[in-house]
Parts: sequence; structure tokens; C-alpha cells
Amino acid sequence: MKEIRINVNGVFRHLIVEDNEILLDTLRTRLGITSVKAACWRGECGLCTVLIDNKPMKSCMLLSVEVDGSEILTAEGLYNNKRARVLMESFVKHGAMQCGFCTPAFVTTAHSVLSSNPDADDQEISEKLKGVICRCGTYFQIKEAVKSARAFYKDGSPETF
Amino acid sequence: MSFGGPYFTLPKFKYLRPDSLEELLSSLHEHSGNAKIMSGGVGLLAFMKERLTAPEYVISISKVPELKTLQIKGGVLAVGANVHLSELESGSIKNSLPTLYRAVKNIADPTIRNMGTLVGDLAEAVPWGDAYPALISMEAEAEISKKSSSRVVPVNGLVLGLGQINVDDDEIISRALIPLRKVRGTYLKFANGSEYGLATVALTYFTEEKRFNLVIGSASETPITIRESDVDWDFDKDFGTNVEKLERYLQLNVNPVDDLLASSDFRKNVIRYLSLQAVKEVFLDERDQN
Amino acid sequence: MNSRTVLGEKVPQVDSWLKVTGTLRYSFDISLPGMLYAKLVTSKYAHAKIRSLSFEEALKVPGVVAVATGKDFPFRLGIYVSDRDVLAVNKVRWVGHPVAAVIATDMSSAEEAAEKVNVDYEPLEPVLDVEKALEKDAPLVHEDLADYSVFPGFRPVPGTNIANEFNLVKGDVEKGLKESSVVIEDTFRIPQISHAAMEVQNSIGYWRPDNVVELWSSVQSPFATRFLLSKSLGVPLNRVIVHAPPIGGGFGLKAGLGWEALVALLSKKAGNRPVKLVLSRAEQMTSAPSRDLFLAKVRAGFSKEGRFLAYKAEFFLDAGAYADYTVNVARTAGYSAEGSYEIENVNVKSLAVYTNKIPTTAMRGFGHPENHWPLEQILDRAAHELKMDPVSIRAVNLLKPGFSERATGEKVREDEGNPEGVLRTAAGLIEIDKVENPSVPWTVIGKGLSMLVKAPSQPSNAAASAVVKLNEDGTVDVITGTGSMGQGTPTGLAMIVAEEFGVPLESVKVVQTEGVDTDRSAYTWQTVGSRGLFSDGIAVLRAIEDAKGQVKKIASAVFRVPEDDVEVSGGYVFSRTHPWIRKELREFANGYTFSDGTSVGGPVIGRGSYIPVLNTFLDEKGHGSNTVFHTYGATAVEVELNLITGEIKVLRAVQVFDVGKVINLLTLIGQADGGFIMGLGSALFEEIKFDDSGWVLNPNLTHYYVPRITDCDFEIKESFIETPQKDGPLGARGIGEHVMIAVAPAIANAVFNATGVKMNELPMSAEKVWREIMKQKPELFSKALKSFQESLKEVMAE
Repeated sequence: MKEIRINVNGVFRHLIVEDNEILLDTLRTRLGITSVKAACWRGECGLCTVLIDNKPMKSCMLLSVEVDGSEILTAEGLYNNKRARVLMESFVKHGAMQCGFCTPAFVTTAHSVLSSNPDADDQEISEKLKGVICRCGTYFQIKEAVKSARAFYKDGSPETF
Repeated sequence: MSFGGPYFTLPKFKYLRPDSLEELLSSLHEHSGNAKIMSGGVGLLAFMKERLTAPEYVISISKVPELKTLQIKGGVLAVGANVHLSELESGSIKNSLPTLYRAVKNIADPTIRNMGTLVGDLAEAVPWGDAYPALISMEAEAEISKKSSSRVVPVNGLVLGLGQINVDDDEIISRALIPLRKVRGTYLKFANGSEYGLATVALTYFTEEKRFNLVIGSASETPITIRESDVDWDFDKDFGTNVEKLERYLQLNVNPVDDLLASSDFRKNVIRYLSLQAVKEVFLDERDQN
Repeated sequence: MNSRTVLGEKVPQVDSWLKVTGTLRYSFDISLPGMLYAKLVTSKYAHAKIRSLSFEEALKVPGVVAVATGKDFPFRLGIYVSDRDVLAVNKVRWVGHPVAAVIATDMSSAEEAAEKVNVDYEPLEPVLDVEKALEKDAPLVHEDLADYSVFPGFRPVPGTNIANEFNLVKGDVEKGLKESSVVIEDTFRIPQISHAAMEVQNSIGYWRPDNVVELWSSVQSPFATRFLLSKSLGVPLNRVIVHAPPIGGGFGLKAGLGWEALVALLSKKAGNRPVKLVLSRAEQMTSAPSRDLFLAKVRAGFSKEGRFLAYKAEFFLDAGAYADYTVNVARTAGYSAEGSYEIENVNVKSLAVYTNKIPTTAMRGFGHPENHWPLEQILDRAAHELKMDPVSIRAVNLLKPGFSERATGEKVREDEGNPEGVLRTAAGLIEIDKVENPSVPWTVIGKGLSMLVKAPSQPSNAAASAVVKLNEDGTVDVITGTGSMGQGTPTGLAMIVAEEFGVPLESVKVVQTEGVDTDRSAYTWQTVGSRGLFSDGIAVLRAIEDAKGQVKKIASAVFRVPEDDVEVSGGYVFSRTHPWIRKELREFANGYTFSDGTSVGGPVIGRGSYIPVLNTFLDEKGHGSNTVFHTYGATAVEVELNLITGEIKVLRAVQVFDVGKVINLLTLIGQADGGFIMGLGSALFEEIKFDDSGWVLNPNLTHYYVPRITDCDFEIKESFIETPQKDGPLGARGIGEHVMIAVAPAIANAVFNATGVKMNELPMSAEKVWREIMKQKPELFSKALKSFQESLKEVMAE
């Protein structure tokens, strides 16, 4: 058992976790964060992607103890970020989802792509989103959605409401 | 080798997180044989979920400052064991160590590269790993540390086979040491119907010394290294003749494995294709080097 | 209140915001107070007797509540042939066959305990090949086939491994072949593939103390699940409640009955506490069903004008250990074997065959990706022999709406669609005749197309129903039986309702968007076969009509005009002859109250239903009438083929469908593109690989590769033709499965047209294509390699 202090979607959490506890389980089962999905449990599908100190990582392959001290963002939290909200709206408008099971992972990853490079081109967007699988095949729509949200990630556009 | 364990959870273990290299090494010493080192964790947790390994202790190196450094010293780029792959995707690495840059770009996906490390990819010791052939081609060395001492060995030869590595239980590969010489290089991967390459080619050309290492990965249990001397490559001679020699050498000496990903003869065909692409890029096509 | 029409526009799915924020609740996300977790113990043998089974050690693991084995649950399950057990009883039939289940308070304990269940097996000879399974002395996968219950129209052959035999006979095929100028003969094969739905199968069972069985499950067809569960376990239908939250991808995997019987029984065994089973990806790919393996031996004859004179085909569908659903896949592949063409003489035999491999079930396309794979390639090959082009040979043979008859004897309806328009549109968009130059001389660019047609394959009584309720603020609630799995049906239904009442889309709520449950939803047979929008759509339109009738009755009293003078549209109710007499629709929602306080009518609740009429079972020659609508489509591609490595790269893709009427353009395009990508996966990459003892070698998403976003760097165009289906909802037809059917044959045809290399087997992996080039056209490889080698020298010379 280990004590960890993390900030999840803006809320500080002080948790006691098992040594072998996986972050995916901590987030889903203990904190009720259901946007974090899983489909392979071994780092392939990317549906468990969360932002850890603003970097996308696959939470099924992380021990909860390892993220002690980090700031974790998921789709639920990004809803309160103005830029990410625009990105989400772009996903909605472009129909960049079918069953929706992978959508939060794409939104989360795309947010980090545009945050680090608002000028990301088709190829970069594609390459950076490679770690998430959408079996419904909404990839064309996802690319369009991300591209058309780029302007809102440029300097000057606010992050908070 | 195929994965397909049914498990969601990890076996039980005790988690240790030393705060310094010294503490790490004594912990390794103390639990030698019962412990596994975790850098990014991507490989280790996968193996543990498959129940291929169930160590009593997992020693995390995430808080060991000495292993987080990426520094240039004495003409060598030292990549600490806890330097994430994504940190190597920089413009300066691209310019100075193109083989490394391209190999890293071929590892898994960008999200995994935020988690995994170069040394971890090497230490996983899987035939389909991308770091090992690339490091061999660059003539990298590994700094291996234990409680009382450390040693530096060539990376080439470190991996003995699937999951087997020439590092003792109380040792850690603390840094990969990559020489910074004038090089051109590339890394090509042929993947089709899998995330893993069915063949890869790492080529590093030391321009001043006029020699190269062409390393073929994912095609046999350990990579195959081909040097200019092996193929009797003569830089003063016609390029076409040299390419023919290389082709002949590949034809006679490279016998790839048959496995789930590809048959031997197809691999052989792909290896020729990648090798020729690689020499074309490195020796002829300067534009691609930028 | 009057609103513009939204039909045919790009409308985001109504649950989009829940999806982007990850707050839509799938059954994967549900947990109940006191819930326990189940873990499967699965067979290590493809075929073996269970000598004994012990689990004392498992019970000692802290947290373990119970261990269940096959003997605990002596029930048989299945939709068309009840060939499934709940857990293996006496023998195991494939590697991965669940033999026991551990129930524990947490997953970690369950997993630990599952390792401590010991099973002693006596290995039996397995049969792992579909053709060997048909040999006389082949081991039997199901000795008791004669005792299984069978749905009308299916014909298992006890004493063999044949789960179903279907025959389609028209004319005299041998005579037709004899009269043909060109006969194409070949053997085609498609391996087993995985649905790879991102949400793995997962179910919660709660056998309540009052003996009501409650389930939360990732299922496509809650009513069918309820029916099959009730039938198998002997619980009355209304004592079973199936909750079906939105699902994270189904593609056929989640049709019928999944793991619901097991979790219900486990709950009972665990002292009536809720039990959840979630499959791991490996379990999903080894213990749960996949798509059938398909083997086709065909002979096709054409006249010198290109008339399709004869088609003789034998289809063998390797159904694996359970043919549950695959008997109908085989039947469907058989009766629709002629595709979009009128063939004079047809003889098709289609068998579903048991083997000791992972079981199989329905998958998107349901026998059509299978039967179109040989058919659509035969046409290009015949065209080549006859010096015709792929478009004209198809045009010559296409079914003619209003004139042709299918081999089943069914008339091709006049309003069925415009197959020729589809064909020519696809050919035009891909510029089939325009030759493209490859980027380097060791590749070639090829273009290919494939037609497709499909009707829902459903029992003749596949009904649907709907309820439409008006609310007093003018909003409308719609209750259906079709839920949300990404296909967009709830959104389409909401658009239809908005259109018909003339209210804004936001005013319409399709309750089942957030989940179906069998207690509170309207009945629909299943969410399968591309039937949702069609069947539920008709039911919804009838419910609207009924609701409008009720409004008219009330309004007639209020307006003092005859009922048939009352019109409901644009959000208003008015007199047709005196249009200034009008009131807002909302004023009638709960009946109408006059200014003096007196009231007439009551809450408006419209009901509507649908059942296919005049459908029949097919007889022994495959004759009968068993379809309600057909959707035609065509896929066309431009691909670049590397002649040295065999790698195929799609450069352009075209998807054309006659959808009758575009309801929602956004979800329609989404389906067309997404289906292409799924088709691309099965065309180039996907194959469940087995070793010689029946073990799956790639039960993961690393070695079972499904397309990633980086595989989609090509251009895709969609085009929709609207030939209204007279009895369809506003003229519309279904599209959900069609989008992936023609992708593989279109790519194979592109390869053939560019090189003459015939691809008989899927997937067209680089290695397989390379091998075929080396076998069929080695000179292409040599030439390509040479040009590649030359290119090295040329660069040098520069």
C-alpha cells in the first residue's frame, strides 16, 4: 500500500493504493471516471489514454504509485477547458464518432497534439493519433475535426471560460 | 512468440522507488534475483499481465535523477535509462543521429513513446525491438552499473535471445552511450498486418571513416550486422557494383526466421528491398538527410 | 415552433456530447452495489473429454465466493440451432472453451483463483479443417446434434459435422456451363476474422431474490436475448429484464445471446448477488465467437456476349465449435450468391460445418462479404477473357428492377433501387478507364470495382414497434426498441419525428438513445441486418400517424370541423378548409382544455408496429420470398501495388449506395467511410491465425491488426443515389453492413486489372500478394526489381 497525491481534473486526491494497482483501475473503479475506457489492457488500443502533466499516456500500462504528484486530465475535465470544448464541438459537428467508445481517448490525445502544435498538419495529426484505435473507422472525420479546431489553439485564444 | 494472456490485473509485488542511483543499486543488490527494474513500465507490465514474469519486487527508476539525464559529454550522447523515447524525437537528434531518430519514430506509437524508454526497449530483449539494431548500427555502448562498480560494454552482443540479456540480476543498464561522429543514417521498418516489423534495417554510415554498419532486425533471434568489409564495399568504386555485392552478400548469408509475421523467403525479399532503400537514402539521397 | 426540415442534412448524433465527454454510460461502465466479478477458466485442448475437475484450492483464495462448472448449468443455448452449452459439459470443443467460472469479490482474487482450478482432460482427436470435417470418418464435434432444437428452415445433419445444409437451384447449371464460351473455375478462401469491437463483451447478471432475472449487457438485441434466455432457462419472458445500454461497437458480435445466461446463473450460484463478466481481449478472441472461415469452390460460365449463364458454387463455412448463428450466415450466403446479377442457371450448395475451432457468429455483412469475394472477381476475370471491361460485363448482367427474378424466385421490385446507376456512378468517380502513372517504376496503379447488394436476413416475423408521446410543452418522446451502437438509428428516427410533426429536432427525444430495456422499450426483433431505420422507422411513422389521429379527433371537437379536415404539421394543428382556425400542437398533448375548464381527449400516445408481410421460409431448392428491401452499392478503388514487396496501398476510394432517401447525411457518410476502413482491414490485414493444435496465435491487437488512422491517408468519396423504396420510411433503406461488403473484391480486382494476378485468398497481405506474383507473374517481380536496382544507379549518375 502506498499513499499518493494526485490532481485529477482539477481536484486534489489523496489515495492509498495497492503496489500493483493500475492507474486505469484507480481512475475507473475508484474515482468513477468512465471516460477512460479499455479494450486491450496492454497498451495497444489507446482507449485508456489520459493526460499526465499534459502528456498523453496509456493508463492501463501505468502503476498508480508511479503517477504520485502528477496532474491528470481526462475528457470529463477537458470539458471545462475552453479550447478543448471547441475541439469537442468540432468532433460533434464533423460526426467524428460512431459508437463513441474511443472518442474520449481521441479528444484527449488530440487536445495534447494541438496544445503542443496548433499548426499540426494532416500527417502530424495522423501520426500523433496513431495510438488510438477506432473500430467504427471514423478516422477521416476525426482528422477533419482536429484540423478545424486548430485556430482555437493558437496564442491568444483563451483556455478558460 | 505470441501474447494472449487473459489477465486484467498484475500479480502481487512490492514496489520500491529509490531516490538516487546509489539507493537503486543497493536495492538491486539486496533483492538480486527477486526484483525487476521498471523504467517506462510498458514492457514489464505487459510481461507481468501475461504472467511471464512475477517478481517479488518491482524497482521503479522514475525518481532516480541520474538516470533521467540526456547529455553530451566527450563526443558521446549519454541516454539515461529513464529518458523517455519522446525526448529523443528532437531536431538536434534528427540532425546528429538520424538512425536513432528514425528508429525511435518507429517504436510503437507517440503515446507509448511518452512512457517507454530507449534503454527499456533494449533491455526487453525481444527480437522485434527497434532500439537494439539501431544502437548496434551506431556502435553504441551500454553503461552497466551495480552496487560496487560499473562497466561499459558494446551494445552489440548484449542481447542473447528472446528475453535473455547479458546483464546480471544485480545490474542495471544505466545509460546508452552513443558516439557522436559524423554520420549519415536511416532506419527502415517493414510492418504489414502487425505493429511489429517483420524486418527492419538500421544503417549508420560514418562519413569520415568511410565505414558503415547495416543491421537487420526482426528477422532472426538477434540482429544481423553487416559491415562494409563483409561485403567488400569499396567507396572508391562504382556504387552499382557495391550494391550488387551487398545484394549477393544478403542472398548468401542472411537466412531469416519463419514465424507468425512472415515466412523466411518473404523476409529475405523484404530485407533486400529495405537494404537497398537504406543505402540509397544514406549514400545517394542527401536531401533525405535533412 | 415551425422549423425547417432537417432531413437529408448533416446532423450530429443526438448523444454526441455524451460521447465526446465520455459520459455516455455503456454496460462496461456499470457496476452495482455488492457486485461480484467472474473469471473464466478455459480449455487448453481443441477437443477433449473432461475427466475431472477440482477447485478446492481456488475456493481457498480470499474473496472467492463460488466456482461453477458445466454440470451446474445443464442448459442448451442458441438462436437457430441450440448447440451451445453454458460452460463445457463432459467435453471441450475448442481451445478457449469455458469450462468453469470463478466468482469473487474482486477481479484480482478471481484471476488468482482461476489459475487454481484444475481440469484433467483426456484429449480427443480434433478436427481443425473444414474439408476434413466433412470426411466420412471425421471426429464429431457434436455427437448429440439430433437432440438440439432447431429453428424452422434449418437442416443440421446428425451423425456428421454439418450444422446446416442449404441449396439454391435455378435452371440446369450443367447445361448452362456446357453452353458457356468462357468458364471460370477457382477456389476462394477467407479466414476467420474478429469483430474487434472496442467494447469487449461484458454482462452483469442479477438473479434477484424474487426470481426476476435482471441483466445489463453489451447486446445488440435485448428482446432476442430476453427470448432466448427465457427459452433456455425456463423463466417466463416478463420475469427477465434485459438492460442494453449503448454499445461500444457490435458488428454482429453482440446479436442474439451472448454471456447473459452464464452471468444470470452465476448470480444465482453466488447467492443471488449481481455478477459481472468482462472478457479480456484475449478471451474475446479465443473464448467468444468470430466470423466464419469461408471456402468457396466455384464454376461460372459466360456466353461470348458476357451473359452470366451458369453459376455452380459450393460454399463451406467453417463455423467452429458452435454454429449457433452461422447456420443462417451459410444459408444467407447461399440464397444471395448471385449478388446483383441475373444468372440463368444457378446451383449453390452452402454448408455450415462444425470444427474444433473458436465458435462463429453473425458479422457485418452476414454472408455477403463472403459470397461477393468470389462472385465479383469472377466477373472481372470473365471480362478479361472476353475482352470486355468490368463495367460492361456487369451492366449486361445486372438485375433489372421490375423485370428480373432472383434465383429464389422472388421478383425484383420496381422500386428496389438503381443498380446500373450505382455501377456507373462508381466507375465514373474512380475514372475507371483513366490510366494512372505510378510514382516509381517498380509499382503499378490499378483500379477495380465491385458491386454489392444485400437484404436483411431475418425470420419472416422480424417485427418492430414504436410509441410516440406528445408532451404539454410541445416536445415529443419516442420509444423504440433499437438502441445506439454508433449506427445513428436513434438520431435518424428523431429526425423523422421532427419532420413529421414539424417540430425542431431538439424537441424530440428518442428515449432508447441512452439504452434499451425490455421492460420499458417497444419491441423490435434485433438491431441487426441493417434493418433498424427501416423497420423501426416504419413503426415510428405509423405511431406518428396514430398520434396525429388522436390529435385530429380532439381538434375536431375543438375546431368544430370534421376530423378529416384537421391537419397536423409544422408544429400546428389546423383546419384544412379554414386554415385560420389553428392552434399549437402542444395544446393537444394531454387532451384539450377549453376556457371554461372543460376538457376533451386525453394524453396523446401513438403506437405503431411493423412486420414483414408475405415473407416465407425458403424451401429445399431455396425458393421462396424472404426479403423486405435490398440496398445496392458499389465500391471502387485505385491502388498502388509494390511489385517487389507485394504491398498494396489504397490511393483513392469511392463508395456509392442507393439508399432510397438520405435521412442523415452526416451519419451516412460516416458509415460509408467507416465501413470502407473495416473492409480495408479484412482485405489487407485481418486473420485469426491458428496453430496445428487449434490455438489462436494472435489473440491481441498487435498481431491481429485492425486499421489505424495512419492507414487512412487516401482520398475517399461518397455518393448516394435516391430511388425511393415505396414502403420504406420516407423511401429509405438500410446501409449499415453494405459499406464493407465490396471493399475486398474491389481491391482484388484492382490488383488483377493492373497485373493479371488473381488473389483468391484473404487477407491480401504483402507476403501473400508477393507469393502470388511470384507464382503467377514472376516476370513482373523481376522487371520491378530490376528497375529498382537501376534507379540506384541512375541517382548515382545524376
